[in-house]
Amino acid sequence: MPAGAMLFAPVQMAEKFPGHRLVARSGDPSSFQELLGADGLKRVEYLQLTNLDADPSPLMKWDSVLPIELVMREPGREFPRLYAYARLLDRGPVRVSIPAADGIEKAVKLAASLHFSVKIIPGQPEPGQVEHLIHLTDFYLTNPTITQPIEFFHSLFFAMLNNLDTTLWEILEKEPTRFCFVTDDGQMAANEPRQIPALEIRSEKAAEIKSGRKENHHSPSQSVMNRHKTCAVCTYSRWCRGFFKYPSADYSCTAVFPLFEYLFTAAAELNQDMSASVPGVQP
Amino acid sequence: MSSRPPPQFSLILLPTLQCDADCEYCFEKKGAPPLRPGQLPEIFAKIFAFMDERNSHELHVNWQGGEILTLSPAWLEEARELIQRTADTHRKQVKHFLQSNLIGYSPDWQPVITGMFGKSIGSSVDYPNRHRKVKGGAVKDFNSIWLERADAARKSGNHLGVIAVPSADTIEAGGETFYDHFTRVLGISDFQLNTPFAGGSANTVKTGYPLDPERLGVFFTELVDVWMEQGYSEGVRIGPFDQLLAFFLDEPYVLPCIWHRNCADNFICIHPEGHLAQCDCWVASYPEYRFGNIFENGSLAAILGASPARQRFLARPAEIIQHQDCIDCEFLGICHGGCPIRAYSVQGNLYDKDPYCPTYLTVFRHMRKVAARLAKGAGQEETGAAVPNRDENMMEGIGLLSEGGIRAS
Repeated sequence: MPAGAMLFAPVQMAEKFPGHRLVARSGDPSSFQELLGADGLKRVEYLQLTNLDADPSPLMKWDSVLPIELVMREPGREFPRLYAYARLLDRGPVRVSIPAADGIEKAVKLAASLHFSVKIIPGQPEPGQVEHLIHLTDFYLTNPTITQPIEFFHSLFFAMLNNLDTTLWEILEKEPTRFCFVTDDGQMAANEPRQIPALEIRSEKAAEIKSGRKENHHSPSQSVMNRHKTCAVCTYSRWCRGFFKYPSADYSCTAVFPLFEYLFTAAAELNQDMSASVPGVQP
Repeated sequence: MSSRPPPQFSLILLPTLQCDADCEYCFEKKGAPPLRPGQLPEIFAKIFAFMDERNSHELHVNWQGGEILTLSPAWLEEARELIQRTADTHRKQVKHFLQSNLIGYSPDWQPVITGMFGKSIGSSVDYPNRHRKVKGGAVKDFNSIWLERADAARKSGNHLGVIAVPSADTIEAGGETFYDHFTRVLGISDFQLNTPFAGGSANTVKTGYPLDPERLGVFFTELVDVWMEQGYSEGVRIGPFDQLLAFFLDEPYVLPCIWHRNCADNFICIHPEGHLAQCDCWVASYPEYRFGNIFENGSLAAILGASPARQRFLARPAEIIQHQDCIDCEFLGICHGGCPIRAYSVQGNLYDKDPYCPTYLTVFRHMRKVAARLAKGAGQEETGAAVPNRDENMMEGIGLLSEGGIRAS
């Protein structure tokens, strides 16, 4: 297993992966305290709660301050539940992961307004969904009441602003050399199979994790880039690295170009403004 | 880094409903006998046990009435000792805050005000005074009595913060006149404006509430402009504008309860007879919205958990966000639909948004502009209409995610 790689595993399986850093997930808020022993608690980076209909009070009563990610599945239905979870912010960091699905605008706006961190899971968005994402980018960049990051906008914007090579694979914790996913039935996948079903290195990763040996890695993004010639000439490949070609290789990336362009333009404008504001530097 | 309200719990304690004033807009139904100090250990033991379940360690007790100073200094001294003893047993911190009309203030009170309230008093006065009266007296007498007591309290070294409730005549007088009265005539440098509402039993005064929200918003912006010009740099504070300014300037702030994400998360009120409700606006006037009684059998968590009224309060923000237009508001993050009693007092519906929404919008926009001007004046970059308000971790790129996940924040 690559040094520093992190496992996303069901909380009841935490003890099956000794020595590995963990993101422990469960749909039952009381299960974390019940199932994580002292060793597990030391290795857990954060908790993922996958059922927002659950009563959050066991987490409030627990004196642990481990960060929590609330995993939203149906933003249009679940977003009002965020109020029930807002008190968790008093005990430590809480992030909400929200898929690009019906109700995403409401869910992201409310989560950000309650001062949760947000992670948007874009999937392979249709043009209509990209419009929602652009609205949310604008909301994120201009709303004065937002105090926490909205990913992936935040890190992508930061990378564009500072001329960095950060990729969506890293930002969204899908980079298989750093993040590995254990399914609910204990199967090892290079990353969440629903997202990356055909990643070639999946079986290699599984073997590595079991053996603890480090193998020669294919870079998943390089592998993708090699397979999709359009990536080689894409303006945004530096940050995307074929991210939007998964799970369906047939996805037309032109759908997400307006989003990249919006962020890129905003970053360029801010750079220009910052240059202009430095004494003695002409724009 | 912006600071959110700390995870403390607050109690609005009404040990008595007796009052030596008779204000026409008062929402409280008087008449209950005062609490006895001997009842306090039971009350506070239940509250501290409730706080244990929430991992809260600090309790803020807001002493309100009625009028606290109709009790005796000895009553308060005994109460303080009993509460502290109970707090020590439960390893909790307690801070006391006093709200008083000051009519009963005398030097006899000073040891309590010093020892229990840290020489800080919250009081109330209006301009022009149309509705505040000393019991059995006239409106015109209130201000002179209040000023005499306030001067005495200040001479004893107390800090005085004042709540003012504007009327239609306040709006008519304008921001400059209002500001001049408070700062120059009354010598107040720390005051807050609360919006009036028609709570409790109806009377002719309350039929004028809510005030015209647009006109009130204009009045507030006038007041803010005068304050910024004449008093801000001199240390005069006017709430809630000072807290909004701090918010938009990315400084530590505490917004008033009307703009909490859910007031039911943070505090509770206790009536002299032990009735529980959301706040003083509800407990004495709306028995149907009480959450139970602290002296009932069972823990406070059990009493609250079994209360349908409490569940309705907890559900309010989520209901508003689904059925009102707040989700589209750029200031959702600092408002959440406003105050339940102000909403309820207009339509009888807890799930309406606050009728002063247009006032708040005007104020939020204005304070954002004022903050932008201040930031620009201080040499910071003004970025469009908004002042950036970001926690430190927002400038760290993927620091939230890299190696250590969101723990890294």
